[in-house]
Amino acid sequence: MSTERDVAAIVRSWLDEGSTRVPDVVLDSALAQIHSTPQRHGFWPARRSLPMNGLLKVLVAGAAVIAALAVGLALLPPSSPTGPGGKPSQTSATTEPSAASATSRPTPLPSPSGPRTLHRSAPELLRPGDYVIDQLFDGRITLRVPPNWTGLEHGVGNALLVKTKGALPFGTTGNTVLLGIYAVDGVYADPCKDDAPAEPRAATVDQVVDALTHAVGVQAGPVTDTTLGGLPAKVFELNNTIDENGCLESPFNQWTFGDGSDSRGNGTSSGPDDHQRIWVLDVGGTTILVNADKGNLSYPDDIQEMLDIVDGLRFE
Amino acid sequence: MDSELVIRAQRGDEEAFASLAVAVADRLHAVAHRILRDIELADDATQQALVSIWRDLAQLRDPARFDAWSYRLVVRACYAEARRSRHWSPTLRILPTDQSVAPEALSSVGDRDQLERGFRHLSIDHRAVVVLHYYLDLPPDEIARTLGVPIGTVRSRLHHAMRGLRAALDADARPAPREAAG
Repeated sequence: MSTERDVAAIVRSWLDEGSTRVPDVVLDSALAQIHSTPQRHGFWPARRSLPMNGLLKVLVAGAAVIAALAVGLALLPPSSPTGPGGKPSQTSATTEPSAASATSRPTPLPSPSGPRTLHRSAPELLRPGDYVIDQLFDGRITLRVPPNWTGLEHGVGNALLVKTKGALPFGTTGNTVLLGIYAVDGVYADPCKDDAPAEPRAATVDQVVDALTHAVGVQAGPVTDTTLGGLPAKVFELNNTIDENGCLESPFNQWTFGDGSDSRGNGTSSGPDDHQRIWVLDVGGTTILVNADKGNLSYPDDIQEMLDIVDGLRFE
Repeated sequence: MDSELVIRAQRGDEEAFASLAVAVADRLHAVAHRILRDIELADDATQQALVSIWRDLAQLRDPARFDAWSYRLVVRACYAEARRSRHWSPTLRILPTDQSVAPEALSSVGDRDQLERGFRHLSIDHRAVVVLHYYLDLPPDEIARTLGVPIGTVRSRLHHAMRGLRAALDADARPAPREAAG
């Protein structure tokens, strides 16, 4: 009979045998692949490493709400000098998120040479006004942004806007709201455990709605018919009951969106402190998902601003 | 790992990432190979892990955690490869031996086969903690942070994995009716 010490020693010795060098072709292939693989930018706060009391847990979890991220936003500066929200406040001009290290500035649209986009930039505080998202899918989405909202990245597949109270840096407050718009192309059946969306991929509005509302670990409100930007849409509330600890990824993935490369981006949630209102609609053959995400500490006026932005969405 | 190199790669510097990749690829591949027990699957998992590292590097908030984070991604890639392959765990039937089990006896082909068979019976979850603990010498709390699971889960997996391996070794160490080689 072997002892525990024997087995450990045997296993160590056995594991020390074998290949310790990666074939050159593997390294070369990976390095070749990164040329066409965009980096995802992250804004989730660092995972906690110490036990937290209840209040702190709520605060940190709320902070996580801001973070799901993504791929960018095509920016139009204010359509008028004052814009719907008035001139940018002094606060807006001086309290850019600490994560922002933007090297690009929003480019006015339209311009004589046609639309240009702020592409895959660092997050940046937006001046209030009208903006266009024209990288997400073949069509265009216009929206009106109030003061103190930050645009995350803009790219193929999604666009994200976030507001932190007082435009404080990401990850430092829990009082945030997050608005994401996605060209959704798959839904995770078990967001905690699955490493890929369910097959066959949910593609149509009904398929996406059905998959999201029946995902493992979620409580979905009734699905109702509505209109968004003048188009028929489905809307429902989604509350996760999943504890991200122990999930395959943290935050865990809920749906995928094509990002124009071999890889895909994911719509994410951090768990029970996330509350989502989700609209799904067909825009010219593309299934668009709009996710209004709030945390337990989100301010009611911020939530209302987010819903007002959704109400003002226009699809072309 | 050089944190400055990590930060440069986070900002999209492909040369910096190439240096990072060269520095970590051997170790990632070694981990993948030991978990998957298949060189081709390990190649694929390593490649996928490197691409994932590049893609998600900006989401790493603490560059000092790069090594642990990279292990997490390679373990995740191993999960994906294991699921993708229908043949990653072939039925391995070997002739048992009558030898008693001791560390110094590992040199025998029979012991390696016994371990190989026992290890292949483990899930990827269990293999991962065994490799991280006994190959990389990571303590359970570090493994828990690396894999994003509670430390109790790590200890449980280690316990069950080692019990399984010990059972495999002991079973084959006992005189028993010989199996037919498959």
